[in-house]
Amino acid sequence: MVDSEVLLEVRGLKKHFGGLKAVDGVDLTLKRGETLGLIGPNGAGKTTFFNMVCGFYTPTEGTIRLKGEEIQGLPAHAVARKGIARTFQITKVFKDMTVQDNLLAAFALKQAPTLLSSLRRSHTRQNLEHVQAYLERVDIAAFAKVKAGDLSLGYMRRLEIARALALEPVLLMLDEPCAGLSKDATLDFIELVHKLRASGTTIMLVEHNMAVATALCDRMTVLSYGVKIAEGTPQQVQNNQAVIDAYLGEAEEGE
Amino acid sequence: MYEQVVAINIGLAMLLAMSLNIITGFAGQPTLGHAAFYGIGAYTSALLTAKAGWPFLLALPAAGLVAAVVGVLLGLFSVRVREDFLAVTTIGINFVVVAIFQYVELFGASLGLAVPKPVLFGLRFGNTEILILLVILNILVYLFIRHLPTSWLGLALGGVRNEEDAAASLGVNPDHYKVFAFGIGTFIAGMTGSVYAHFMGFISSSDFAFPVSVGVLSMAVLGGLGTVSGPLLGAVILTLSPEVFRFVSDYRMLVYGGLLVLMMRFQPQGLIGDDSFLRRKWIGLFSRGKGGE
Repeated sequence: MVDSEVLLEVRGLKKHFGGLKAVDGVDLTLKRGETLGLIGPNGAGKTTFFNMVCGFYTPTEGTIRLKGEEIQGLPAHAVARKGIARTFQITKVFKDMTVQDNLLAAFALKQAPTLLSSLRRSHTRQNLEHVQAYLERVDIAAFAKVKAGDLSLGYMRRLEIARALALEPVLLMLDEPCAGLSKDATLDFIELVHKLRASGTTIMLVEHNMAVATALCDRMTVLSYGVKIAEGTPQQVQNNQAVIDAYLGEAEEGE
Repeated sequence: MYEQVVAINIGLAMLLAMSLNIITGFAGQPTLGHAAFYGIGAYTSALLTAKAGWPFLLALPAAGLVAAVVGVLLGLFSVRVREDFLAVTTIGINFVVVAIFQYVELFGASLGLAVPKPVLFGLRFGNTEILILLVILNILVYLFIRHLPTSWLGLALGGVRNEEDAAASLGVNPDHYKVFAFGIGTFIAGMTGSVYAHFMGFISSSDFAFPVSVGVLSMAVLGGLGTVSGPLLGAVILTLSPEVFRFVSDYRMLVYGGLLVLMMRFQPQGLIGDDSFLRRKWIGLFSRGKGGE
């Protein structure tokens, strides 16, 4: 039954915090090479859903299959080892370390998988060249020796993405990657995601901003109050009455 | 001979400060009970040599191992408590360990324990031999710590210290690395305790009380937590100052406490940490590149 085109398959995923049903039975399928947007108004359960897939929350119920293998309930570091890389809504770079070391830390996944192997030297010439290549990919190679905490928010996000890519993931998950970015930085970021899509990376992203999501995604899944209310191409979703009621109407009033 | 004793005290302090730096500096786990592991090593070595007749050269690593086992247990515990709670917990552990030394018959209770001077190939260990041993241990530990920042371990600990969640998202199990850091740091502290016991020839519980832990932390903080050689500088300064200035030895705890507060307020990175006033003087004219748009 496993479709080789299907990378991630989520069935009946639930997360209840006491009486609050943050996510209440969501199904979702993600194909290889696809860019899927998880959208919805504030409090819709997007981030909760996202965190369950990444292993940061344990689902109350439901299954998450990556390449047919059940991964729900695994701790975050184990999910990372299965090939899911993520970024954070509030960037979490290692502030007191250099940009180079931040990125190099990701190579440990493949090169130092055990405690004992972690005693080996990480800063080999080959690794450092490799780091430089990843930094160039997101245009921050010039800051390799700068402390990550001294970067601007836009560059921190780029570093986070480069660090996630350095894990060579099968699935890249971005949690509100454009939150807090200036208009220019957002445009730069959209361009970066387009580059990643072109290179065949499978991406799932949580996005609050409909315009950004439309620009980025092949397909969208819309959540509202913990349930899926719509799914489809950006055009289909935008014309969906339930979505307009739950989300777009509200956004238009806001503007 | 006085100089030799001072040098030995500095050697012991440097080992303790470096070992604490692995746990608190590199792994970012605050601990205020380091003297407990120093004591566990000392008592282990004293009992193994005096009561079980082990040679010193075997008792030395055994002392490290026993301390590390307890350290790993504390590490497993530290996974559940964070930051200030961990600091308070480690204070508690220090008091419990000292109480055990003080009240349990096996550990000599309030009388303390006499420790035989080590004999190696018919050579009885005097202060010179202890000093040579300390130099060797210091070099080994220093080489290990100098290697840390360019090792996978150093990177993983850096991740755990900065952002545990982000470290986990890179496949690093934060708990494993915290416990590993506790194991390594307490192993070194235990070996140091063994050397101390055989240097002194006599140990009692108060040698490993809470103020000793505060002293070791003060050394690491003064020099710079998380730096490679800062704790060495801190150990030298804080071991020598009571010898040079009478008031430091009279008001030791006041000086340690005051130093901790002042360093945290004005130079949290320590004397030789990044951007400290000493380092800025040193770098002087060179301008530093800054990131940003």
